[in-house]
Amino acid sequence: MTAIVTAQKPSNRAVIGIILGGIGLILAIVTGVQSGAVDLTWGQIWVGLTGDSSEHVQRVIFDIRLPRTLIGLLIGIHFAVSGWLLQLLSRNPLAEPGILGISAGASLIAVIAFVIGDWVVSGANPYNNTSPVLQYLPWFAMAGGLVAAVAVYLLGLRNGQLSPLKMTLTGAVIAGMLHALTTGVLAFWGHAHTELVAQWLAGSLYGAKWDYLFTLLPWTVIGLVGVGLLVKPLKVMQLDDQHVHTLGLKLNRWRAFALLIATLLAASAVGVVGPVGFIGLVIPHISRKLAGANLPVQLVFCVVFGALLTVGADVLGRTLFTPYEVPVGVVSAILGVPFFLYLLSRQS
Amino acid sequence: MMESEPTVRPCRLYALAILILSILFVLGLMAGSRWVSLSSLWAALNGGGDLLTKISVVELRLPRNMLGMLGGAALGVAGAVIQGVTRNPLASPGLTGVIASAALAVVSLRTLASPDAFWLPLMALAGGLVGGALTFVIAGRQQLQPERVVLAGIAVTSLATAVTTGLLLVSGAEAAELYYWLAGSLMGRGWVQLELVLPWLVLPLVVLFFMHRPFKLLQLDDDLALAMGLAVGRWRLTFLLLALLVAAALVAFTGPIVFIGLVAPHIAKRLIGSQIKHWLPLSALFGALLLLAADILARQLAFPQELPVGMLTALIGAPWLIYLLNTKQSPRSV
Repeated sequence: MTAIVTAQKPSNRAVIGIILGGIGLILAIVTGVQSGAVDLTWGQIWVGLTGDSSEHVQRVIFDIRLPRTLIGLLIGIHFAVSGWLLQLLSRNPLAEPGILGISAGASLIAVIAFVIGDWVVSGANPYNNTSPVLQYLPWFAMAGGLVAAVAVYLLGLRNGQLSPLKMTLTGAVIAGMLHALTTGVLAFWGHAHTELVAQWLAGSLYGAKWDYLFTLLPWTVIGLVGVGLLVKPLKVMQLDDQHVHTLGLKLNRWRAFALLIATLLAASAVGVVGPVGFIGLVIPHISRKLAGANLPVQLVFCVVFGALLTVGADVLGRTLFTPYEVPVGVVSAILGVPFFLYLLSRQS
Repeated sequence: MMESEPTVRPCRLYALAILILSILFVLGLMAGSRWVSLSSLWAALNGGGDLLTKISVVELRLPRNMLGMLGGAALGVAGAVIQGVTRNPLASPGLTGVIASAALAVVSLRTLASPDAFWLPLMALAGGLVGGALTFVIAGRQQLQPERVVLAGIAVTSLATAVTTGLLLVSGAEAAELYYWLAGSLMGRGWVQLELVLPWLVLPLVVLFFMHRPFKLLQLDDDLALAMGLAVGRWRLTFLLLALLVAAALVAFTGPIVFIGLVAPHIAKRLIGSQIKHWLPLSALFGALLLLAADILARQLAFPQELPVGMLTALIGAPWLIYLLNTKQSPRSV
């Protein structure tokens, strides 16, 4: 029993994986700053970063690409870690904030808040891009995500036992309902903002500004601290419920805490960039494959590869079909759905 | 598989359903921003009465009601056929990815070209076929377990939804209108739309009703059906194609309306038990009833605004499905 709870050293393979992932992430960030409507050279970026270049290059780097890339990095971490927590918590390899309805709940409440907030301040110019409700959106999104998460979790239990299949189905049904409601709200009361909200609903980093980053950052910190606290209890939670009780862990309290942190991470990211699915599904699986059973190492993998996938997906999305942009949410769905199906085919 | 509960006599069910349906139909003609009394309704239908009443009743509410009824019937039958033929109580056009992919096809056509409305059902059908086929191919390897089919359908739906949302971003000025359509509504659907969709709905429905014998046999074991001289694979495919056809054609005009194809056949099956012969007609009636009622509610609840009917059916259908997942030990035994 103690062998499970004591810390393990990461294997060599894991260390190499993390280093490669880190290098990949740095490359992705540089590419993210470099490419776009105007491609910059390495030299231009270097000069731009050190603050010694034309105003044009400065603006492209600092006002557009750098915040966008960094936000991509953060939301990648958010969704990947959230999915990792959910999969551990529900012992369900198909769990993911999108599939369990958390993103849909967050979206619905955020869209309602957006529409109402807009209606309240309708004196202001409705076509002004900066919405007054932006800094509150993560809060609303979290409230919605939390309600959806708790509902799915409770309804997904089968006779008090965790049942992966039933939880996935319940989550998908609730997500479908919430999605229909969101579309309805947007279609009938979104009016002046349909385009803006539609872009948000597609999970796009287009137009991401420093404000977004600073709105999101506190939640990243809180979420990661929470996950840090959870690592040890999570290890114990991998055991049978009965074993856990004999070890004296207050199982339900920790489960609730884990669900809270997972929701907080996913919903705050949804509140800022909109629902981006499947990152929380794909990354934890890859992490488990590469890191083995060592939870802290898995967590580091999730952070690094979640960020890498999102930044990479954003770069792909904005360079593939220029001048059009494919939102991150669409790229991640196209990458993630086959993965989901692969997992499904392996489930007995 | 069969319900052991006491069953109701079918003829009473038909009578009751038709009675409620006609009351709803009249109510649907009367209700709206201007309530019309029974007498002026009669007058308007006979070509008299004042012009405003005549227009709102004959030009707006009548075709809308008929589309609601017909569409509900189509969804109910499509759901019953898919459930029966795949022997999967959770299957329905919505949960197998058909509606979402039909919607994707329509959105892409309307974004990339500005097509004649005539092409929309064909495009929706193509999309629905691809989506449905994908779902069943993905799920097919494990002998079509109910939950697995639904999970595969969820995957197909989420992919289609994501791509649809992405497409909406490049659709520019049309985005608001497309969103409106995606919410699923009967609002503003008049005689033109009804005429366009009519052949796509009525013909397959009639064909389906005439094929009730093979439908009944398909409920049995594959081996048994084969022994009774039924080319199981071919018939199953024919049934699925017809079901997809009506569902997709409807989606092309009303937008995605989910859960009716799930709920109506369930209610029908509960009431008739093992009398499979009556399953399709009753599913049609209940589907018509549900959609018509939902549409009338959608018009009245948030007056003077209208709610999209897709919102209401989702609000009714999702709890129903969760209830189904919870009442039985396994959804397979529903």
